[in-house]
Amino acid sequence: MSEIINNREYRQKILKELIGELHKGKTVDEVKPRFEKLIEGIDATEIAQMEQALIMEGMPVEEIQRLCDVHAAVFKGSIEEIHRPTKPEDTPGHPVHTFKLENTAIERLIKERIQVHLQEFKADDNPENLAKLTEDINALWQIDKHYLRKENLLFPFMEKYGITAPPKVMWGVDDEIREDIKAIKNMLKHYNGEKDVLLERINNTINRVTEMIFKEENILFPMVLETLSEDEWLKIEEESGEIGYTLIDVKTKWKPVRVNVEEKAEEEGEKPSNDGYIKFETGVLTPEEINGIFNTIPLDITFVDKDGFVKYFSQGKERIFPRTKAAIGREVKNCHPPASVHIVEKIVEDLKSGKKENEDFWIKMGDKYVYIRYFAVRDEKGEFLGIMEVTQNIKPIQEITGEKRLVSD
Amino acid sequence: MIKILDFSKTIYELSKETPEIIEIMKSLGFDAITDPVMLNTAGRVMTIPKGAAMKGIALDQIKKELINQGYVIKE
Repeated sequence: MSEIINNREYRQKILKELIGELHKGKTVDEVKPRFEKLIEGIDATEIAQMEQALIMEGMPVEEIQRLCDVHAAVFKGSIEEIHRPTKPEDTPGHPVHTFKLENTAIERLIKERIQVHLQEFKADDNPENLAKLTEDINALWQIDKHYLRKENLLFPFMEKYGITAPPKVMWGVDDEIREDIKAIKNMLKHYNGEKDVLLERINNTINRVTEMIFKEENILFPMVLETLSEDEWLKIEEESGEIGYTLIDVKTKWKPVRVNVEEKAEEEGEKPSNDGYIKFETGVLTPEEINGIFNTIPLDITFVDKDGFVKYFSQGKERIFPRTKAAIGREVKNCHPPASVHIVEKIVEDLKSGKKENEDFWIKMGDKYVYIRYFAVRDEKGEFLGIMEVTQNIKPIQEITGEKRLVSD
Repeated sequence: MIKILDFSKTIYELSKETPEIIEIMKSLGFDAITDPVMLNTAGRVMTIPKGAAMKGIALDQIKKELINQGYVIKE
């Protein structure tokens, strides 16, 4: 086992050197032979992983991108083949990717600055060394933003899924760390020669910060990645900028994979009707009328095409499950939490194969009683066209008794 | 019967397979393990080696104790 790891480390080292050489101005052709040798017998995924590791270590993405030219020269395949990340959380801009980058930056701050300056301060607590430590601790205070995003953007979703204890515990520890850093800032500002007390306090705090990083990466992130849907990650990402980031800049916007449904429809031979009318077996309607009718039907309708892409949803006044336009063109499985995807896929499979014609659920949601029905949609020849989801609050209907024969005022 | 503890399994899985390890783990310093909520959430992504690293407990010490109690450890 260890030789594989070492091998990987070795390759990573070479890769780093190669990037360095490119940086110093060597041409692609000069670096190519060595790169070719390096990647002999390994697949694109590993190269992607190695690059990812370098990014995590703090190497700027632009530097890694220099390697693209070399990839292209060496590989017959496309660059996308190498760079297509295997998981969403490995994609720059994904909230978990950002959280992890911050953690790497925090670890670097601790290792390369705070610990070094602590040693210097221990040897001599002169004003210069005191100033260095003060600067470091001020930088460490930026961790507040990392924690704020975690607590205000991530935790609410966890609570929504019933995961309440871990966030509560974690939030408590976050607060204690913040208090510690504030106290240290204060001690540094009014330093009175109590070197040992200060050193111990800082050491304790950086230990707690490191422990928190471990907890996030080993418990929190795996847990939320299992739970949250792509839409929810998007929401978190959209709101992240407002709070800000710790020790890093985030410029890349994360874009989940989606399909342009209009282009897809055209490719499949459907013609846009634009301003004309659509002929039905039972009449004609303009697109405007169709739109109006669908939004007025007292049901929420979502249509997923035969390949599993969300193609349409109606926009009634009181949609039970709010949908954003961002859902159009997304694969339906990405709109659900990973833990329940297999259920969705099973339903889709059963409807598609004809094993079932519909699948119904009814759930209580606050004061609503929600009836959710999935139907297979087929053409006149019985060919599968897609799946229609219809949701409706049936509480008011259930409450109907007797008769009403008079027009309301 | 040989009782095998697979260290690659989550603490949640292990607790279902071998409920008696909960008490042992607790005595070794895994204090959150008796909290059903924590076991059900965090426990589903935690393994014994990860938990040991997090709690700062030497993995060797845990192994020794578990072996003493008659378990076979699969790493």
